[in-house]
Amino acid sequence: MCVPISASVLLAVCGVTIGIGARVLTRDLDLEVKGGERWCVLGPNGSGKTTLLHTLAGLRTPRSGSISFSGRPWPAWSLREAARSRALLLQHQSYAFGASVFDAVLIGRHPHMGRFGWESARDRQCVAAALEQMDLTALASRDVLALSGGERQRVALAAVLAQDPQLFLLDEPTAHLDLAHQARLFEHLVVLTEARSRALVFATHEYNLAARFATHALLIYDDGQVLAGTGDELLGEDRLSALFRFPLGRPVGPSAQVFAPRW
Amino acid sequence: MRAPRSARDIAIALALACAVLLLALATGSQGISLPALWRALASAEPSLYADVVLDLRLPRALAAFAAGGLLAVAGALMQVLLRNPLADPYVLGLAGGAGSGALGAMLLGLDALATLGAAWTGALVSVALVVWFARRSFIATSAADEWAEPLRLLLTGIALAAGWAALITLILALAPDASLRGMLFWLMGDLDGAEAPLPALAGLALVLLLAWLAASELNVLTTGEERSRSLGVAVQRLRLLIMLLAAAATALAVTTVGAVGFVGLIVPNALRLASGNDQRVLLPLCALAGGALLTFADTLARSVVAPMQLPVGAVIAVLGVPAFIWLITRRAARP
Repeated sequence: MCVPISASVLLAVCGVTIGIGARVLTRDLDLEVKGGERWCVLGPNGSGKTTLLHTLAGLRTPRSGSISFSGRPWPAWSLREAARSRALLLQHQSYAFGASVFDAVLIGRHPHMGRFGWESARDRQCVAAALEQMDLTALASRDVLALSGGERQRVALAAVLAQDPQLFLLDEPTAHLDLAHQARLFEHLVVLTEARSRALVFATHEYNLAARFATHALLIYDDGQVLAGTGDELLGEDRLSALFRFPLGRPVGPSAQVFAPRW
Repeated sequence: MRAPRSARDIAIALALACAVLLLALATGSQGISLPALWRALASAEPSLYADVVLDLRLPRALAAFAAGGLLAVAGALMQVLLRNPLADPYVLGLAGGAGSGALGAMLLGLDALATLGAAWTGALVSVALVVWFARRSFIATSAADEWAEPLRLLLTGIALAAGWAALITLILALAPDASLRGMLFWLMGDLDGAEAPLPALAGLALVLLLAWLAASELNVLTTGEERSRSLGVAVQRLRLLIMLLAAAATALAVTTVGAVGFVGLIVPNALRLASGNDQRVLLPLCALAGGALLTFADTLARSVVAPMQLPVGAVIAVLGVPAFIWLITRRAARP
């Protein structure tokens, strides 16, 4: 399990234990993320979804175990190389200074720019395409500080798309997004990952979105236990009810594909 | 869309800087018309004008220009380092640290190079303390944290600046009478003795070059530590570089013109409003506009109530305080 068997394995996680202070968040996690797969990370508040994503991105050293990307452990990657291969969407966006939406998205191209950091025509094309994808073209010259929460989230997502990585690690990508933009984002992520060279891992509280778009699931419980498997295996009402400690069911009838809380 | 605008902004700042330098050369107890100024500069023959312009006004104008550029660049760097537009070498106590170091060295009778070293050390101690106290702002994880940070940072800076002010008072109390007056004038911001502008000018060029090479990474750093690391920026190394450069720039400016506030606060913020926050453009603009501002202020300082001279620090404060308040209110009023 711990030696990648096929070349399509992008991310190989091997016996990883993650903790903060005295708390163990995930214990002995083994995981393989292959090209073409979309993993959702589900769990209650404070179960360690964000910490796990940062660790998977190679930005945090696990307490034990190792994480390899394309067969090479993260510590062997340079920061810049790693940034060209995987992108991390943070849960919170903060802008200390005003900047145009275009410039804010251009930040995502940084790992691809030359030594002196001037953008090429290709960088500008990538930004324009990402803006178009996130429905931001009309806002390109607006100041990010003047945007709404959902618009800022789309700016951050556009920067991640412009970064053009093989592995997308997205922490609550649909936060603040309206339904149309949630669907548009995930339909695009499906197109990107279906090419088989890219993969997606996203943490979310939107279990219906996860059930609709994820091929695989990672359930993180409060006690550090983690279940990994395909969506069909893991995304059932009993498991989700236990995970969230709240009864969930599938209403009978035409909407039988969705989960609903049993208030 | 952006590149031609950046080139235009830099051209405007360059023209402004040249105009202010010419004004500084032409203004004084002996007014010199522009044609006469040109003849004095162009001809090799010694004349009264040539002596006045080349030996008195030019070195002083260049020293003011270099110090203003250094202070503005130091301000822009501190603002990126702390991700806070209110950061400034003066407000955060860097200038106080540099001043204490320089005065301490003067008290001990050390030479100019050792004075500069002591000033740099004082400024570095200040940056390190501010960064250490404000380190939470780097790891802020919630919006609430980020709103609390500017206040925390400013209070830290004010406390440090007050501490340095107390140390300076102590040094002045211990200083022998003979050197006291010189120290006091120096503290108020004094260009009277500035006759060798070359070290400061060379320092400005070097600081600007090193900062400019990292400008693209500085742009990324404004979006936060974790985001920067995920985008391939070696954050710790970059922060160390900024701290060293900002401290060196402040120390060099302070040993050249004494304590002059507000340049590092007003200039980068005004330029951000006018030209955006791309550090690749902002840093050269800061050097030019900061230099122009201090040269202009010094020209006013020595000509408004001539033959008396005002301390340039006071002139900058008179120009700077209303300008900064205007900037803040304008910023708040933007949609």
